[in-house]
Amino acid sequence: MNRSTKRLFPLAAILFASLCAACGSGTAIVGPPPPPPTGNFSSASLKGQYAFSMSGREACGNIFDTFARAGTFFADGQGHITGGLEDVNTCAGAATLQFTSGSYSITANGRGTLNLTNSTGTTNYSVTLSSTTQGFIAQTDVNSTASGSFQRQNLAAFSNPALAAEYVFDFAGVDYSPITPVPTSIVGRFSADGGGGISNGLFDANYNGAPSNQQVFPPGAFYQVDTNGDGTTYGRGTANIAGFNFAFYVVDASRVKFISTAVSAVYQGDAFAQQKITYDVSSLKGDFAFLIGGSSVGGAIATAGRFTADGAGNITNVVLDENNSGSITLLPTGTVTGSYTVDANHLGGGTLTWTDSKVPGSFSFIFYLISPTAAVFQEIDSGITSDGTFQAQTAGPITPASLAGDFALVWTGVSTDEEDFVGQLNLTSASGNNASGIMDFNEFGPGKQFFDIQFSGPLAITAPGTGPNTFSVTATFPSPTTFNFTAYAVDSNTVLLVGVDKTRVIAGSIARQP
Amino acid sequence: MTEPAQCSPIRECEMQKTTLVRISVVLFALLLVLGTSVWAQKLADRPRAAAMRSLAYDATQETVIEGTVVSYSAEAATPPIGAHVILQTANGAIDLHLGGASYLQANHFSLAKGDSVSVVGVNSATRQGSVFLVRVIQKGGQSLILRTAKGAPLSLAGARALSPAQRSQVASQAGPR
Repeated sequence: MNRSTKRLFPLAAILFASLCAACGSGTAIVGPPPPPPTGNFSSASLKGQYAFSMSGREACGNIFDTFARAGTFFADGQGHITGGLEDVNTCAGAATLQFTSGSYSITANGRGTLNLTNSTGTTNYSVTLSSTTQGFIAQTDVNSTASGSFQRQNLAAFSNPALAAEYVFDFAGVDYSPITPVPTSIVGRFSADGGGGISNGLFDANYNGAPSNQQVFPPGAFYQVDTNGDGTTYGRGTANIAGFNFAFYVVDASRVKFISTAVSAVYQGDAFAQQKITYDVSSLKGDFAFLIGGSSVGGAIATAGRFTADGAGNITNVVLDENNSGSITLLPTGTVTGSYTVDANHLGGGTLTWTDSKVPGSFSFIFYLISPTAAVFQEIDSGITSDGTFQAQTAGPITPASLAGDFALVWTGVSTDEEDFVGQLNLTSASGNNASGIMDFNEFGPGKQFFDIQFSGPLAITAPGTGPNTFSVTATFPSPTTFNFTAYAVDSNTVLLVGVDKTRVIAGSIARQP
Repeated sequence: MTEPAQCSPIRECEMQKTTLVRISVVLFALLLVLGTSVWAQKLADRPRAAAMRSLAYDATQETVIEGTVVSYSAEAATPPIGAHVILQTANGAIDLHLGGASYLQANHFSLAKGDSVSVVGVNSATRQGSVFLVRVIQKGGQSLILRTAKGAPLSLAGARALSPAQRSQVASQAGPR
């Protein structure tokens, strides 16, 4: 199947404003009143302790930087934040800050706003629930934009013994050692012994497109749920993973959120409990959809696609869309051949490579399997630092009828600078203009915070739906803007999106709401 | 049940101790080697230098180009996303990519038609053509580094690339955390 760049459509111009965060606070732009939201959510839907994490861009005076935050907030189900704690890694340094107050509201479609107050002031967010236990979040302040996710915590997992398991992790960010910034991705795995000890720690780092080869954790690896009360109250702890110091917040025994605590390296990511089996080449078999994002020498890069692994080391049926700072590469263009290996140590790591006869170079990746159906995924091609996940893909078919329903959405990317989106999308089974939704987004800078922006357009499914599908939505306010995506369905509940516009790199996903 | 070994006379006992120490050292060294080889067996091979694709920065191909600015765009329509300059050189017009325009603004570096500039960087192919990725740009007496030696845009860094004192100053202007 040949695919050409003819699928791309011109993007309506985004108003360009001077990025001068110190010029003033700016004014939020709010769209026309939307129709009354429908659905079963309310502020009562957000109740309990939720661990969150996000990364993005901040303004330090007139200089912009990368930052991350992870923590937990307590929602009382009535619109009040009654407590919480977060670790932030900003240009001002790394700090642990307690939430003294806050509030939130959730509308029927799962959308809402949240603000959190600590000793430095109040930060503001837009959220969309995909269920009562999790959702997406985007920071909507003038000085900071970021996006990520939150999940309800299981308090029974707030101890060292509760975390006794194998974990696979994916950390990404920027390393500033010694001075110059190095985009970095670190993926790997370790065994937590239940007493704070870590063994069998292995990782692959990608420093600015230069892979490290597989490495053993340096001496000093550990994890420790805080013993000063923060552990049992917030699920917070500290760890040394792959030679770096982190704070972490426990979601449950199967998922832990990490943030680095050194100002010289801002990393953020999650660790997932790894299914304890003996991994070999037969462990990777079937169809998989993937989404990765990061940076290249040109700027931002995002890639989504799908492939088939045969359980014997061969990769076939590769299809992908890569947006490398506006330069679009589509596979297959010629003949694609691929292969993979699973590490002989049986710990779940491996390599995966494919080439297209008409595209220069190769596409090379490292993966660590969380289970035979999911993995963290890191690209290691020259000059590219990109990471994400791949997940087992349904056999299909994916149809407009099977996708019809409501979804929470989160997108992140770069146009003039970073931009983060969170909202809700409704898909119908119609074949035409079948997608409509509403979102909030932050384009980072004064007057670039947008709320209640309605959009609509077609999601065109190409049978059997497990390959590339086109998704194009237009927001008419405050100025006509079209977002063109290629959509790869994991299944009828989750769809991965990569933007294919030349003037922005954007990627994200949609997750079905109940 | 055998009795514990006795040392007699004293010199013989010391020799035994010395031998034991030597054996211990050898065993320890052996364990270290074995341990290393065990990990060596566990560590998997990885491709060290993946094949270069389009839009790469090959530092071995860096060149210096001088010319006159024909046009400057903070957000050009052609990739890579970011600020571009069309530079007229003795060998023709070249498309320069400077990275994020906000980084130029933060460093008070402006460009306009007619400016004479000198740039260091690499010519790189994209899927849509070629572009010169600028690592250093110089205009008059003003010089600005835009990329790391390996081509990563410095616009990623901002404040953390400053000295601790400078960072403290700009951090004081940051918003709530």
